[in-house]
Amino acid sequence: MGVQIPPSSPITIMNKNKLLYNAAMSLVQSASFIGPIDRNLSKLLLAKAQEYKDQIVAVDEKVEKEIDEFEKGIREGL
Amino acid sequence: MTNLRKESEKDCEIQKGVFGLEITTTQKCNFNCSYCFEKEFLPEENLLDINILTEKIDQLLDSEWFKSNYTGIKLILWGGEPTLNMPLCKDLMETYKDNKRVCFFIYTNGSTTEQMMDTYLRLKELPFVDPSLKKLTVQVSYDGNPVHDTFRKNKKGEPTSNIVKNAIKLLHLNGINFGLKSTLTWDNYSFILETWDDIKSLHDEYGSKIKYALTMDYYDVRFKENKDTIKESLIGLATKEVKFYREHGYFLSNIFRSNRPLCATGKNMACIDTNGEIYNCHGSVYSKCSDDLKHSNIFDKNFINTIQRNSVFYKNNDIEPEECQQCIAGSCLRCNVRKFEESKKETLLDRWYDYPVQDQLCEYYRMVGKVGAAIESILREK
Repeated sequence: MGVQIPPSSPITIMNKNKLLYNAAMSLVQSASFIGPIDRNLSKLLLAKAQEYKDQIVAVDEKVEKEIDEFEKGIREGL
Repeated sequence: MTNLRKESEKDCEIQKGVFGLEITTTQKCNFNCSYCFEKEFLPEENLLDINILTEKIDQLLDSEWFKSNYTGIKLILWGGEPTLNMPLCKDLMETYKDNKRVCFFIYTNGSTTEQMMDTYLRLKELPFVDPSLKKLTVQVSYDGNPVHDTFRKNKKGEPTSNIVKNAIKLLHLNGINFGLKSTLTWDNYSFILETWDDIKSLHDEYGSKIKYALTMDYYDVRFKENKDTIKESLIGLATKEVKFYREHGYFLSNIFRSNRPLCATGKNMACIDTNGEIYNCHGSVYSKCSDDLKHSNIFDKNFINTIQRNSVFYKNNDIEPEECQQCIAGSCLRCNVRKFEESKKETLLDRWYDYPVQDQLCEYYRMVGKVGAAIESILREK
C-alpha cells in the first residue's frame, strides 16, 4: 500500500491539474444525468466544468525533467 | 430541527471569521538578532494606555460593522519583545479573559515565559467563540541550532537557545498552546539540515505540536548567489521529510506544504503602534514606507470607520497576478508591505499586489515547488 497523503500535503501544479481535470469530468458526467430533468442546472454544471478546465496549466517538459532529477536525488538518500 | 438551526447559525457565525488586531506593546527588545528587520529602529517610549486601549477595543467589538462581519477578535501582542511591557500584556489578558469574543496570540522570544506563566495559566482553558482557535496561542521564536545561537543573541552577545528551550519546556509542562517560528537567512541555507534535526529532537521530546515553521529572510533575498547550496540542501531536506512522513503521516516542516496564502493585512487585520497610530499590519510599522501605510490613530474618534474603509477597500481589490496563478510553487510567502517597498509600479494597489517583484524569492519558491512535486511522486507510489 502507498502512503495516504492528506489534503494538506504538497499539491503541486501537476497534482492540481489532475484534481481540476477529475472535477471537470465528474461535473460533465453529472450534467449528462441532470440535463433531462433540469436543463438550467445542467448548463451551470457544464459552465463550472469549463471553468475548471480553463484552470489547467500546461507543464513544460523542462520542468518535468527537473522534477525527475530531484526525485532521483531524493531516492538516493532513502 | 431547532438544534439543527442553532448549529447552522453557529456555523454561520464562525464563518464570519476573526479580526486580527496587532498591538505593539513595546518597541524594545532584550535580544539582538542579527537579521531583525526592526534592528535599525530606535525604540520610543511606550505610550499605549491600558484604559484607552480597552475602551477602543470595546468600541470596535460593539460596532455594527464589526459584529456583522466578525465573530470575534484576536489580540496579537507584538513588539520588540512584547512581554517587556509586561503590565500591558497582563492587563489586556486579564481584562478580556472572560470575554468569549476575544482570544490572544503572542509573539515572544521566550525570555519572560516564567514571569508570564501565571497569566497564561489563567487563560489556557477558557473558551473562545470560534472553537477552532484557542483562547491563547504563544508563538516562540526558535531558529534551531546551530543557527539560533549564532544569530539570536542577547544584548550582551550571549547565545540564547537555552533560554528558549527552557521556555518551550515550561510551556509544554504547563499545557499552554504554543508553536515555534524559525527564521533562516540565505547565506546559512547549508545549515538547514542541522536545524531540521534540532527541531526534530524537540518534536521527539514534546510531540506533534513542534513543527519546523520556517520563514526565509524576505528582506534581504540572496537566492542566486546561494543557488547550488540551496538545491543540494533541499534534496537532503526532502529525503529527511519523506522518511519523517512515512513514520508520522505528516511533515515536520512547512517547507514543502502546499500553502500560498494571501495575507490578511488590511483586510481582516490592523496594527496599533506604541503611539496609537493604526497601520495594516506590523510589517507596515517598520517599513521604510510606513508614512504611506499609516491610515488612522486610535485617538481619532472615527478610527473604526477608517479600519472599516480599509478593510472594504482591500477586500474589494484582492488581486492575485497571473504569474502567481500559473506558478508551480506549492508554498510561497507574499508580504504585501515588502512588495510595496520593492515595486516600481505606480498605484498603491499595483505595488501592494506586485508579488513577482521579488524575483529571487519567486525563483526559490519555484525550486521548492519542484522538490515538493518529487516528494509527492515518491509518497504516492505503492
